[in-house]
Amino acid sequence: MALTTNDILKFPGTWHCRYWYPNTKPGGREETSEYTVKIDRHDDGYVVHSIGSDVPEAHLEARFTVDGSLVTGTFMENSSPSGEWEGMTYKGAFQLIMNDEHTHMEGMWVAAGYNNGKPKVFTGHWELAQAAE
Amino acid sequence: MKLVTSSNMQVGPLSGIWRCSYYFPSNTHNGDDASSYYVRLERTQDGFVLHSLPNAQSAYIQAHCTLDANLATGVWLENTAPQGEFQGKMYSGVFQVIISDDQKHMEGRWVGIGSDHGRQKIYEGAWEITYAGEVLKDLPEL
Repeated sequence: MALTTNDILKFPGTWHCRYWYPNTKPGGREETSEYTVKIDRHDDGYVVHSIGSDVPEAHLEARFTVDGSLVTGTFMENSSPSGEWEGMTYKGAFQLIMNDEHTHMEGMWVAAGYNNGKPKVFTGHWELAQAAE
Repeated sequence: MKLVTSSNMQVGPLSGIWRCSYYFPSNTHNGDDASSYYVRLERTQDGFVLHSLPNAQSAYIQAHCTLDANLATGVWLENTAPQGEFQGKMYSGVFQVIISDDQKHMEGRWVGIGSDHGRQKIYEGAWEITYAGEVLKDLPEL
């Protein structure tokens, strides 16, 4: 997906992944979903996989490529089977801007969710920050 | 896997000419401006490729995506018109659209990089791909 080939970057340690989403259920407001993730090199890009979350049995996987400070990728989230979203799988894409130190990325995601029982595409804020080396 | 759209759509060839429009916050007035192209869609094994047809402004857009039934998720790249408001700047981003049951309309949102007073920033907006007709010569100019 990248437009140019980058140097191979390292994203060591554990990272804190947080995204904001509109709770589309009645009376819902914006909520956050948080994961602890690792980022590894894979093919021409990088893979993200969760090693912990604030909700048991919820998992997040993502792939991205880097073009300068621009991070572009896709993700898949399996929500908790026993949680509010009943094990629903969310698939989407994201684009983030990375800082010069390669320790922080911030941008937006796009993915389908429910709106009054009908699927609809939403966007929201997304953040990935190095938590510990 | 229980996907949000819970669809088992088999997407067809998506032939003909389509109109692809995306909306972004205007720099000159309140509300959104639209960027519209006539495009062709070509099916791939697991998705489709989108590319614009030549226009008088020499602006181009291309995209590719994968399909999960009626849900298309992908990446796009736009070369804006050299003489236009964005002076030939290149933009890129991601998008997701849901394909209607008659497979003539796709609706969703994009996310992509832009700049705000010289600072890089990620924007988002609506994205639409609608079947326009079989041949370009019968279609109104955009």
